[in-house]
Amino acid sequence: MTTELRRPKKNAACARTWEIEAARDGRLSEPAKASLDAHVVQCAACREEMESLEGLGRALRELEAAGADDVALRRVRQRVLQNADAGLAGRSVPPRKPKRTRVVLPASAFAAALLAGLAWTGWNATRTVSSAPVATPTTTTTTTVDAKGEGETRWSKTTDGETERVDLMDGTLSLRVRKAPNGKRVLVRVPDGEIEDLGTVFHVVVRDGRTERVGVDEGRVTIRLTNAAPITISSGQTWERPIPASPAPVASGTAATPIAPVSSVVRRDVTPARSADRLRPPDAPLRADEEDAAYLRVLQLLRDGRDDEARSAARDYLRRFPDGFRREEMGRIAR
Amino acid sequence: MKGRALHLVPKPIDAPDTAALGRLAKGDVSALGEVYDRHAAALFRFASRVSGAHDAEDLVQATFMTVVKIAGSYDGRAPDARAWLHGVMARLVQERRRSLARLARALLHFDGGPSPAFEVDRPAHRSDLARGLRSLSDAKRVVLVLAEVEGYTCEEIAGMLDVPVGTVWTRLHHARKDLRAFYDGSAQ
Repeated sequence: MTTELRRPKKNAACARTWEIEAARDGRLSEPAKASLDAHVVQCAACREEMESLEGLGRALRELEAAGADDVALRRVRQRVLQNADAGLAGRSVPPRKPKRTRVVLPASAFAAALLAGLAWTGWNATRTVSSAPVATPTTTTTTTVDAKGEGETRWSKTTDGETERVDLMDGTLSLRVRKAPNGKRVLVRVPDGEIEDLGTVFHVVVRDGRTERVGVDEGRVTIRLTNAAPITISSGQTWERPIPASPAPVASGTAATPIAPVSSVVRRDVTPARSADRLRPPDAPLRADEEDAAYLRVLQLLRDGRDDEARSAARDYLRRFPDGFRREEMGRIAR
Repeated sequence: MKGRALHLVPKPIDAPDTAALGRLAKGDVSALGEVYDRHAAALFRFASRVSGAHDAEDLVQATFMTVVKIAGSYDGRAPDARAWLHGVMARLVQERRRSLARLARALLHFDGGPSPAFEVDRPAHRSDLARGLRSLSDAKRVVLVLAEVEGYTCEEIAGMLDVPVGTVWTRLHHARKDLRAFYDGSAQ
Protein backbone atom coordinates (compact mmCIF):
# COMPACT_ATOMS: atom_id res chain seq x y z
CA MET A 1 0.00 0.00 0.00
CA THR A 2 1.42 3.36 -0.95
CA THR A 3 0.87 6.70 0.70
CA GLU A 4 -1.42 9.07 -1.08
CA LEU A 5 -0.08 12.58 -1.45
CA ARG A 6 -2.48 15.23 -0.35
CA ARG A 7 -2.38 18.93 -1.00
CA PRO A 8 -4.03 21.31 1.51
CA LYS A 9 -7.21 22.91 0.24
CA LYS A 10 -6.49 26.33 -1.17
CA ASN A 11 -9.53 27.92 0.47
CA ALA A 12 -8.48 26.78 3.92
CA ALA A 13 -5.49 29.10 4.25
CA CYS A 14 -4.17 30.17 7.61
CA ALA A 15 -1.52 32.82 8.25
CA ARG A 16 0.47 30.37 10.35
CA THR A 17 0.56 27.48 7.88
CA TRP A 18 4.15 28.26 6.89
CA GLU A 19 5.20 27.49 10.48
CA ILE A 20 4.35 23.81 10.00
CA GLU A 21 7.24 23.31 7.62
CA ALA A 22 9.48 25.56 9.71
CA ALA A 23 8.80 23.40 12.76
CA ARG A 24 9.46 20.23 10.80
CA ASP A 25 12.85 21.55 9.70
CA GLY A 26 13.84 22.80 13.16
CA ARG A 27 13.53 26.46 12.33
CA LEU A 28 11.26 27.38 15.23
CA SER A 29 12.31 28.12 18.78
CA GLU A 30 10.84 25.97 21.55
CA PRO A 31 8.29 28.63 22.65
CA ALA A 32 7.20 29.21 19.06
CA LYS A 33 6.86 25.47 18.55
CA ALA A 34 4.77 25.12 21.71
CA SER A 35 2.53 27.93 20.52
CA LEU A 36 2.15 26.26 17.15
CA ASP A 37 1.29 22.92 18.74
CA ALA A 38 -1.55 24.60 20.62
CA HIS A 39 -2.71 26.33 17.45
CA VAL A 40 -2.71 23.18 15.34
CA VAL A 41 -5.23 21.55 17.64
CA GLN A 42 -7.77 24.18 16.63
CA CYS A 43 -6.74 24.90 13.02
CA ALA A 44 -7.88 22.49 10.31
CA ALA A 45 -5.74 24.16 7.63
CA CYS A 46 -2.55 23.72 9.64
CA ARG A 47 -3.43 20.13 10.49
CA GLU A 48 -3.97 19.48 6.83
CA GLU A 49 -0.62 21.04 5.97
CA MET A 50 1.05 18.92 8.63
CA GLU A 51 -0.54 15.75 7.27
CA SER A 52 0.42 16.75 3.76
CA LEU A 53 4.07 17.21 4.67
CA GLU A 54 4.17 14.00 6.64
CA GLY A 55 2.51 12.21 3.74
CA LEU A 56 5.11 13.54 1.35
CA GLY A 57 7.93 12.31 3.56
CA ARG A 58 6.26 8.94 4.01
CA ALA A 59 5.72 8.58 0.28
CA LEU A 60 9.37 9.35 -0.38
CA ARG A 61 10.47 6.74 2.13
CA GLU A 62 8.14 4.20 0.55
CA LEU A 63 9.48 4.96 -2.88
CA GLU A 64 11.29 1.92 -4.10
CA ALA A 65 15.02 2.44 -4.34
CA ALA A 66 16.94 0.03 -6.47
CA GLY A 67 19.51 -1.57 -4.25
CA ALA A 68 22.57 -3.29 -5.57
CA ASP A 69 22.51 -7.00 -6.16
CA ASP A 70 25.29 -9.18 -4.88
CA VAL A 71 27.09 -9.23 -8.19
CA ALA A 72 27.12 -5.44 -8.46
CA LEU A 73 28.31 -5.06 -4.88
CA ARG A 74 31.20 -7.44 -5.49
CA ARG A 75 32.05 -5.90 -8.82
CA VAL A 76 32.26 -2.39 -7.41
CA ARG A 77 34.15 -3.66 -4.37
CA GLN A 78 36.81 -5.20 -6.54
CA ARG A 79 37.07 -2.09 -8.70
CA VAL A 80 37.30 0.22 -5.70
CA LEU A 81 39.98 -1.82 -3.97
CA GLN A 82 41.93 -2.24 -7.18
CA ASN A 83 41.95 1.49 -7.87
CA ALA A 84 42.68 2.32 -4.26
CA ASP A 85 45.53 -0.14 -4.22
CA ALA A 86 47.04 1.35 -7.35
CA GLY A 87 46.50 4.89 -6.13
CA LEU A 88 48.01 4.37 -2.69
CA ALA A 89 50.97 2.58 -4.20
CA GLY A 90 51.71 5.78 -6.12
CA ARG A 91 50.98 4.43 -9.53
CA SER A 92 49.00 6.42 -11.99
CA VAL A 93 45.40 5.27 -12.18
CA PRO A 94 43.53 5.95 -15.38
CA PRO A 95 40.47 8.04 -14.55
CA ARG A 96 37.18 6.25 -14.84
CA LYS A 97 35.60 9.20 -16.52
CA PRO A 98 37.35 11.27 -19.15
CA LYS A 99 38.24 14.79 -18.15
CA ARG A 100 35.61 17.27 -19.10
CA THR A 101 36.63 19.78 -21.65
CA ARG A 102 34.70 22.64 -23.09
CA VAL A 103 34.68 22.14 -26.83
CA VAL A 104 32.72 23.27 -29.80
CA LEU A 105 31.49 20.22 -31.59
CA PRO A 106 32.21 20.06 -35.29
CA ALA A 107 29.58 18.49 -37.49
CA SER A 108 31.20 15.03 -37.53
CA ALA A 109 31.59 14.94 -33.77
CA PHE A 110 28.02 16.14 -33.40
CA ALA A 111 26.86 13.24 -35.53
CA ALA A 112 28.88 10.80 -33.45
CA ALA A 113 27.47 12.34 -30.30
CA LEU A 114 23.98 12.03 -31.71
CA LEU A 115 24.62 8.31 -32.27
CA ALA A 116 25.84 7.97 -28.71
CA GLY A 117 22.81 9.83 -27.43
CA LEU A 118 20.46 7.61 -29.40
CA ALA A 119 22.22 4.50 -28.14
CA TRP A 120 21.93 5.82 -24.62
CA THR A 121 18.25 6.68 -24.77
CA GLY A 122 17.55 3.32 -26.35
CA TRP A 123 19.17 1.52 -23.43
CA ASN A 124 16.48 -1.09 -23.01
CA ALA A 125 15.87 -1.65 -26.67
CA THR A 126 16.11 -5.25 -27.68
CA ARG A 127 16.90 -6.26 -31.18
CA THR A 128 17.15 -9.47 -33.07
CA VAL A 129 20.13 -9.75 -35.35
CA SER A 130 21.12 -11.98 -38.14
CA SER A 131 24.35 -13.89 -38.21
CA ALA A 132 26.02 -11.13 -40.21
CA PRO A 133 28.72 -9.16 -38.40
CA VAL A 134 27.50 -5.96 -36.83
CA ALA A 135 29.13 -2.64 -37.52
CA THR A 136 30.95 -1.29 -34.53
CA PRO A 137 30.08 2.29 -33.57
CA THR A 138 32.87 4.79 -33.40
CA THR A 139 33.86 5.61 -29.84
CA THR A 140 36.33 7.93 -28.21
CA THR A 141 38.49 5.02 -27.12
CA THR A 142 40.12 2.33 -29.12
CA THR A 143 38.04 -0.44 -27.58
CA THR A 144 35.94 -2.16 -30.21
CA VAL A 145 33.40 -4.91 -29.81
CA ASP A 146 32.30 -7.02 -32.74
CA ALA A 147 29.35 -9.21 -31.88
CA LYS A 148 27.62 -11.81 -33.99
CA GLY A 149 24.46 -13.59 -32.93
CA GLU A 150 23.39 -16.96 -34.23
CA GLY A 151 19.88 -17.38 -35.59
CA GLU A 152 17.25 -15.68 -33.43
CA THR A 153 19.64 -14.55 -30.76
CA ARG A 154 18.27 -11.59 -28.81
CA TRP A 155 20.88 -9.10 -27.73
CA SER A 156 21.72 -5.41 -27.74
CA LYS A 157 24.81 -3.31 -27.35
CA THR A 158 25.17 0.10 -25.75
CA THR A 159 27.94 2.44 -24.76
CA ASP A 160 27.56 3.77 -21.26
CA GLY A 161 30.27 6.17 -20.17
CA GLU A 162 33.42 4.13 -19.87
CA THR A 163 31.74 0.79 -20.41
CA GLU A 164 30.71 -1.09 -23.52
CA ARG A 165 27.73 -3.20 -22.48
CA VAL A 166 26.28 -6.10 -24.36
CA ASP A 167 22.97 -7.46 -23.09
CA LEU A 168 22.37 -11.05 -24.10
CA MET A 169 18.82 -12.14 -23.40
CA ASP A 170 18.77 -15.44 -25.26
CA GLY A 171 20.75 -17.35 -27.84
CA THR A 172 24.37 -17.69 -28.81
CA LEU A 173 26.58 -14.67 -29.21
CA SER A 174 30.18 -14.64 -30.42
CA LEU A 175 32.29 -11.65 -29.49
CA ARG A 176 35.63 -10.32 -30.57
CA VAL A 177 36.99 -7.53 -28.41
CA ARG A 178 39.96 -5.37 -29.21
CA LYS A 179 40.78 -3.37 -26.15
CA ALA A 180 43.43 -0.76 -25.59
CA PRO A 181 45.26 -0.83 -22.22
CA ASN A 182 43.20 2.10 -20.95
CA GLY A 183 40.19 1.33 -23.09
CA LYS A 184 36.61 0.88 -22.04
CA ARG A 185 35.45 -2.03 -19.94
CA VAL A 186 33.44 -4.58 -21.80
CA LEU A 187 30.61 -6.28 -19.93
CA VAL A 188 28.26 -8.91 -21.26
CA ARG A 189 25.15 -8.90 -19.13
CA VAL A 190 23.26 -12.17 -19.01
CA PRO A 191 20.00 -12.84 -17.16
CA ASP A 192 21.76 -14.48 -14.23
CA GLY A 193 24.88 -12.32 -13.97
CA GLU A 194 27.59 -10.86 -16.12
CA ILE A 195 30.77 -11.70 -17.95
CA GLU A 196 33.62 -9.23 -18.00
CA ASP A 197 35.90 -9.36 -20.96
CA LEU A 198 39.60 -8.96 -20.35
CA GLY A 199 40.50 -8.55 -24.06
CA THR A 200 39.53 -11.65 -25.93
CA VAL A 201 37.52 -13.71 -28.38
CA PHE A 202 34.75 -15.69 -26.78
CA HIS A 203 31.17 -16.84 -27.06
CA VAL A 204 28.26 -17.01 -24.64
CA VAL A 205 25.17 -19.21 -24.76
CA VAL A 206 22.01 -18.26 -22.83
CA ARG A 207 18.92 -20.47 -22.74
CA ASP A 208 15.72 -20.03 -20.73
CA GLY A 209 17.09 -17.11 -18.77
CA ARG A 210 20.26 -18.89 -17.66
CA THR A 211 23.82 -18.90 -18.89
CA GLU A 212 24.58 -22.32 -20.29
CA ARG A 213 28.08 -21.99 -21.67
CA VAL A 214 30.98 -19.58 -22.00
CA GLY A 215 33.90 -20.52 -24.21
CA VAL A 216 37.12 -18.55 -24.67
CA ASP A 217 39.20 -18.79 -27.83
CA GLU A 218 41.65 -16.02 -27.01
CA GLY A 219 42.41 -14.00 -23.89
CA ARG A 220 40.42 -14.26 -20.66
CA VAL A 221 36.99 -13.51 -19.25
CA THR A 222 35.65 -13.33 -15.71
CA ILE A 223 32.24 -14.91 -15.14
CA ARG A 224 30.13 -13.59 -12.29
CA LEU A 225 26.85 -15.38 -11.87
CA THR A 226 24.27 -15.12 -9.15
CA ASN A 227 24.90 -17.37 -6.15
CA ALA A 228 28.30 -18.46 -7.40
CA ALA A 229 31.85 -17.40 -6.82
CA PRO A 230 33.33 -15.50 -9.76
CA ILE A 231 35.69 -17.48 -11.94
CA THR A 232 38.12 -16.48 -14.65
CA ILE A 233 38.64 -18.71 -17.64
CA SER A 234 41.18 -18.23 -20.36
CA SER A 235 42.05 -19.32 -23.86
CA GLY A 236 41.00 -22.88 -24.57
CA GLN A 237 38.68 -23.14 -21.57
CA THR A 238 34.93 -23.54 -21.58
CA TRP A 239 32.57 -23.13 -18.66
CA GLU A 240 29.35 -25.09 -18.89
CA ARG A 241 26.36 -25.28 -16.61
CA PRO A 242 26.19 -28.79 -15.19
CA ILE A 243 23.23 -31.01 -15.89
CA PRO A 244 21.41 -31.45 -12.55
CA ALA A 245 20.53 -35.09 -13.16
CA SER A 246 24.06 -36.01 -14.16
CA PRO A 247 25.29 -39.17 -12.42
CA ALA A 248 28.83 -37.86 -12.46
CA PRO A 249 30.08 -37.05 -8.94
CA VAL A 250 30.52 -33.40 -8.13
CA ALA A 251 32.18 -31.60 -5.29
CA SER A 252 30.46 -32.15 -1.96
CA GLY A 253 27.59 -29.83 -1.13
CA THR A 254 26.97 -28.74 -4.68
CA ALA A 255 23.77 -30.64 -5.33
CA ALA A 256 21.42 -27.82 -4.35
CA THR A 257 23.53 -25.11 -5.88
CA PRO A 258 22.53 -23.99 -9.34
CA ILE A 259 26.07 -23.51 -10.59
CA ALA A 260 28.96 -25.87 -10.06
CA PRO A 261 31.95 -24.55 -11.94
CA VAL A 262 34.37 -27.15 -10.65
CA SER A 263 32.60 -29.97 -12.35
CA SER A 264 31.36 -28.04 -15.31
CA VAL A 265 34.46 -26.44 -16.69
CA VAL A 266 36.20 -28.40 -19.37
CA ARG A 267 39.91 -27.79 -19.04
CA ARG A 268 42.10 -28.14 -22.04
CA ASP A 269 45.26 -26.14 -21.53
CA VAL A 270 45.43 -25.02 -17.98
CA THR A 271 48.38 -25.00 -15.63
CA PRO A 272 47.55 -26.72 -12.31
CA ALA A 273 48.45 -23.74 -10.14
CA ARG A 274 46.11 -21.39 -11.94
CA SER A 275 43.24 -23.79 -12.33
CA ALA A 276 43.33 -24.70 -8.65
CA ASP A 277 42.14 -21.25 -7.73
CA ARG A 278 39.96 -20.44 -10.67
CA LEU A 279 37.95 -23.59 -10.79
CA ARG A 280 36.44 -23.71 -7.38
CA PRO A 281 33.31 -25.19 -5.89
CA PRO A 282 30.37 -22.81 -5.70
CA ASP A 283 30.04 -23.06 -1.95
CA ALA A 284 33.59 -21.90 -1.41
CA PRO A 285 34.08 -18.52 0.31
CA LEU A 286 34.22 -15.47 -1.89
CA ARG A 287 37.53 -15.21 -3.66
CA ALA A 288 37.81 -11.54 -2.73
CA ASP A 289 37.64 -12.41 0.96
CA GLU A 290 40.35 -15.03 0.63
CA GLU A 291 42.46 -12.62 -1.33
CA ASP A 292 42.04 -10.00 1.36
CA ALA A 293 43.08 -12.50 4.00
CA ALA A 294 46.18 -13.54 2.06
CA TYR A 295 47.14 -9.93 1.51
CA LEU A 296 46.62 -9.06 5.17
CA ARG A 297 48.77 -12.00 6.22
CA VAL A 298 51.66 -10.67 4.14
CA LEU A 299 51.26 -7.22 5.65
CA GLN A 300 51.16 -8.62 9.17
CA LEU A 301 54.35 -10.59 8.60
CA LEU A 302 56.05 -7.48 7.29
CA ARG A 303 54.91 -5.48 10.29
CA ASP A 304 56.29 -8.18 12.55
CA GLY A 305 59.63 -7.99 10.78
CA ARG A 306 59.35 -11.57 9.50
CA ASP A 307 60.56 -10.68 6.04
CA ASP A 308 61.37 -14.18 4.84
CA GLU A 309 57.97 -15.47 5.82
CA ALA A 310 56.35 -12.41 4.24
CA ARG A 311 58.23 -13.14 1.03
CA SER A 312 57.04 -16.71 1.14
CA ALA A 313 53.45 -15.63 1.85
CA ALA A 314 53.63 -13.15 -1.04
CA ARG A 315 54.72 -15.96 -3.34
CA ASP A 316 51.84 -18.03 -2.03
CA TYR A 317 49.49 -15.12 -2.81
CA LEU A 318 50.80 -14.95 -6.37
CA ARG A 319 50.41 -18.68 -6.80
CA ARG A 320 46.83 -18.66 -5.50
CA PHE A 321 45.73 -15.39 -7.07
CA PRO A 322 47.68 -14.91 -10.29
CA ASP A 323 45.13 -12.33 -11.38
CA GLY A 324 44.73 -10.72 -7.97
CA PHE A 325 44.62 -6.97 -7.93
CA ARG A 326 47.51 -6.75 -5.45
CA ARG A 327 49.75 -8.93 -7.59
CA GLU A 328 52.18 -6.12 -8.42
CA GLU A 329 52.70 -5.21 -4.78
CA MET A 330 53.02 -8.87 -3.87
CA GLY A 331 55.45 -9.33 -6.74
CA ARG A 332 57.70 -6.64 -5.31
CA ILE A 333 57.65 -8.25 -1.88
CA ALA A 334 58.19 -11.73 -3.28
CA ARG A 335 61.41 -10.73 -5.03
CA MET B 1 43.02 19.23 40.45
CA LYS B 2 41.13 20.32 43.50
CA GLY B 3 37.58 21.38 42.75
CA ARG B 4 37.88 20.69 39.03
CA ALA B 5 35.58 18.23 37.35
CA LEU B 6 37.08 15.62 35.12
CA HIS B 7 35.55 15.47 31.68
CA LEU B 8 35.81 12.07 30.13
CA VAL B 9 36.01 12.26 26.39
CA PRO B 10 35.05 9.04 24.62
CA LYS B 11 37.82 7.66 22.49
CA PRO B 12 36.51 7.61 18.95
CA ILE B 13 39.25 5.23 17.88
CA ASP B 14 37.19 2.41 19.42
CA ALA B 15 34.54 2.71 16.70
CA PRO B 16 35.21 0.24 13.89
CA ASP B 17 34.75 2.84 11.16
CA THR B 18 37.07 5.27 12.88
CA ALA B 19 39.72 2.61 13.24
CA ALA B 20 39.29 1.44 9.66
CA LEU B 21 39.41 4.96 8.21
CA GLY B 22 42.46 5.68 10.34
CA ARG B 23 44.19 2.63 8.91
CA LEU B 24 43.11 3.62 5.42
CA ALA B 25 44.60 7.07 5.92
CA LYS B 26 47.89 5.33 6.67
CA GLY B 27 47.72 3.34 3.45
CA ASP B 28 46.05 0.11 4.51
CA VAL B 29 43.74 -0.61 1.58
CA SER B 30 42.14 -3.62 3.24
CA ALA B 31 40.50 -1.19 5.69
CA LEU B 32 38.59 0.26 2.76
CA GLY B 33 37.10 -3.19 2.16
CA GLU B 34 35.79 -3.23 5.73
CA VAL B 35 34.14 0.17 5.35
CA TYR B 36 32.76 -0.83 1.98
CA ASP B 37 31.23 -4.04 3.33
CA ARG B 38 29.51 -2.15 6.15
CA HIS B 39 28.01 0.69 4.12
CA ALA B 40 27.99 -0.08 0.40
CA ALA B 41 24.47 -1.48 0.27
CA ALA B 42 23.00 1.59 2.01
CA LEU B 43 25.00 3.90 -0.22
CA PHE B 44 23.75 2.09 -3.31
CA ARG B 45 20.16 2.76 -2.23
CA PHE B 46 20.92 6.41 -1.53
CA ALA B 47 22.73 6.75 -4.86
CA SER B 48 19.82 5.16 -6.63
CA ARG B 49 17.43 7.73 -5.14
CA VAL B 50 19.51 10.81 -5.76
CA SER B 51 21.16 9.90 -9.02
CA GLY B 52 19.11 7.10 -10.57
CA ALA B 53 19.82 3.39 -10.68
CA HIS B 54 21.78 3.82 -13.87
CA ASP B 55 24.46 5.95 -12.22
CA ALA B 56 24.41 4.37 -8.78
CA GLU B 57 27.34 2.07 -9.43
CA ASP B 58 29.60 4.83 -10.69
CA LEU B 59 28.56 7.07 -7.85
CA VAL B 60 29.33 4.48 -5.19
CA GLN B 61 32.71 3.85 -6.76
CA ALA B 62 33.48 7.56 -6.92
CA THR B 63 32.45 7.95 -3.30
CA PHE B 64 34.81 5.28 -2.05
CA MET B 65 37.63 6.58 -4.22
CA THR B 66 37.08 9.98 -2.62
CA VAL B 67 37.13 8.32 0.79
CA VAL B 68 40.58 6.94 0.02
CA LYS B 69 41.82 10.49 -0.43
CA ILE B 70 40.10 12.08 2.54
CA ALA B 71 40.01 9.24 5.08
CA GLY B 72 42.34 11.19 7.32
CA SER B 73 39.80 13.98 7.63
CA TYR B 74 37.22 11.76 9.35
CA ASP B 75 37.10 12.93 12.95
CA GLY B 76 35.25 9.94 14.40
CA ARG B 77 32.64 12.10 16.10
CA ALA B 78 29.76 9.88 15.01
CA PRO B 79 29.41 6.25 16.13
CA ASP B 80 29.75 5.12 12.56
CA ALA B 81 30.77 6.78 9.35
CA ARG B 82 27.52 6.41 7.45
CA ALA B 83 26.49 10.06 7.77
CA TRP B 84 29.95 11.12 6.72
CA LEU B 85 29.81 8.79 3.72
CA HIS B 86 26.37 10.13 2.81
CA GLY B 87 27.88 13.60 2.90
CA VAL B 88 30.75 12.58 0.64
CA MET B 89 28.33 11.12 -1.86
CA ALA B 90 25.93 14.06 -1.62
CA ARG B 91 28.72 16.50 -2.41
CA LEU B 92 29.83 14.37 -5.34
CA VAL B 93 26.32 14.40 -6.76
CA GLN B 94 26.23 18.17 -6.63
CA GLU B 95 29.70 18.61 -8.05
CA ARG B 96 29.22 16.13 -10.79
CA ARG B 97 28.19 17.21 -14.21
CA ARG B 98 27.52 14.12 -16.18
CA SER B 99 28.86 14.88 -19.61
CA LEU B 100 26.65 12.37 -21.37
CA ALA B 101 23.52 13.69 -19.72
CA ARG B 102 24.47 17.24 -20.63
CA LEU B 103 25.16 16.22 -24.18
CA ALA B 104 21.89 14.37 -24.48
CA ARG B 105 20.05 17.33 -22.98
CA ALA B 106 21.65 19.62 -25.51
CA LEU B 107 20.76 17.25 -28.33
CA LEU B 108 17.19 16.87 -27.22
CA HIS B 109 16.78 20.61 -26.76
CA PHE B 110 18.31 21.09 -30.17
CA ASP B 111 15.69 18.74 -31.48
CA GLY B 112 12.95 20.55 -29.57
CA GLY B 113 12.27 17.45 -27.47
CA PRO B 114 11.64 17.20 -23.75
CA SER B 115 14.30 17.43 -21.10
CA PRO B 116 16.00 14.06 -20.61
CA ALA B 117 15.53 14.39 -16.88
CA PHE B 118 12.35 12.40 -17.38
CA GLU B 119 13.76 10.11 -20.00
CA VAL B 120 16.82 8.81 -18.22
CA ASP B 121 16.48 5.44 -16.58
CA ARG B 122 12.73 5.44 -16.40
CA PRO B 123 11.10 2.08 -16.02
CA ALA B 124 7.55 2.09 -17.25
CA HIS B 125 6.13 1.51 -13.76
CA ARG B 126 7.91 4.42 -12.09
CA SER B 127 5.44 6.57 -10.24
CA ASP B 128 4.72 10.24 -10.65
CA LEU B 129 6.45 10.90 -7.37
CA ALA B 130 9.61 9.23 -8.58
CA ARG B 131 9.50 11.25 -11.77
CA GLY B 132 8.94 14.37 -9.74
CA LEU B 133 11.96 13.54 -7.63
CA ARG B 134 14.05 13.07 -10.77
CA SER B 135 12.86 16.43 -12.05
CA LEU B 136 14.39 18.29 -9.09
CA SER B 137 17.84 19.75 -9.32
CA ASP B 138 20.63 17.68 -7.79
CA ALA B 139 20.99 20.14 -4.92
CA LYS B 140 17.31 20.02 -3.98
CA ARG B 141 16.97 16.28 -4.46
CA VAL B 142 19.97 15.49 -2.30
CA VAL B 143 18.74 17.65 0.56
CA LEU B 144 15.21 16.27 0.33
CA VAL B 145 16.34 12.63 0.38
CA LEU B 146 18.79 13.23 3.20
CA ALA B 147 16.07 14.89 5.28
CA GLU B 148 12.95 12.89 4.49
CA VAL B 149 14.34 9.45 3.64
CA GLU B 150 17.60 9.18 5.55
CA GLY B 151 16.26 11.17 8.51
CA TYR B 152 19.10 13.64 9.04
CA THR B 153 18.40 17.00 10.66
CA CYS B 154 18.99 20.19 8.71
CA GLU B 155 22.02 20.95 10.88
CA GLU B 156 23.49 17.55 10.10
CA ILE B 157 22.86 18.02 6.40
CA ALA B 158 24.48 21.45 6.51
CA GLY B 159 27.53 19.84 8.07
CA MET B 160 27.61 17.10 5.45
CA LEU B 161 27.39 19.50 2.55
CA ASP B 162 29.47 22.23 4.14
CA VAL B 163 26.80 24.85 3.53
CA PRO B 164 24.94 27.15 5.95
CA VAL B 165 21.86 25.64 7.54
CA GLY B 166 19.81 28.41 5.95
CA THR B 167 20.76 27.05 2.55
CA VAL B 168 19.49 23.63 3.56
CA TRP B 169 16.18 25.12 4.74
CA THR B 170 15.78 27.01 1.47
CA ARG B 171 16.58 24.02 -0.70
CA LEU B 172 14.30 21.78 1.31
CA HIS B 173 11.43 24.23 1.08
CA HIS B 174 11.79 24.63 -2.68
CA ALA B 175 12.24 20.89 -3.18
CA ARG B 176 8.93 20.19 -1.44
CA LYS B 177 7.24 23.02 -3.30
CA ASP B 178 8.52 21.80 -6.68
CA LEU B 179 7.63 18.23 -5.92
CA ARG B 180 4.10 19.13 -4.88
CA ALA B 181 3.70 21.30 -7.96
CA PHE B 182 4.97 18.49 -10.17
CA TYR B 183 2.67 16.02 -8.49
CA ASP B 184 -0.31 18.35 -8.79
CA GLY B 185 0.47 18.96 -12.43
CA SER B 186 0.88 15.32 -13.32
CA ALA B 187 -2.23 14.31 -11.39
CA GLN B 188 -4.43 16.65 -13.35
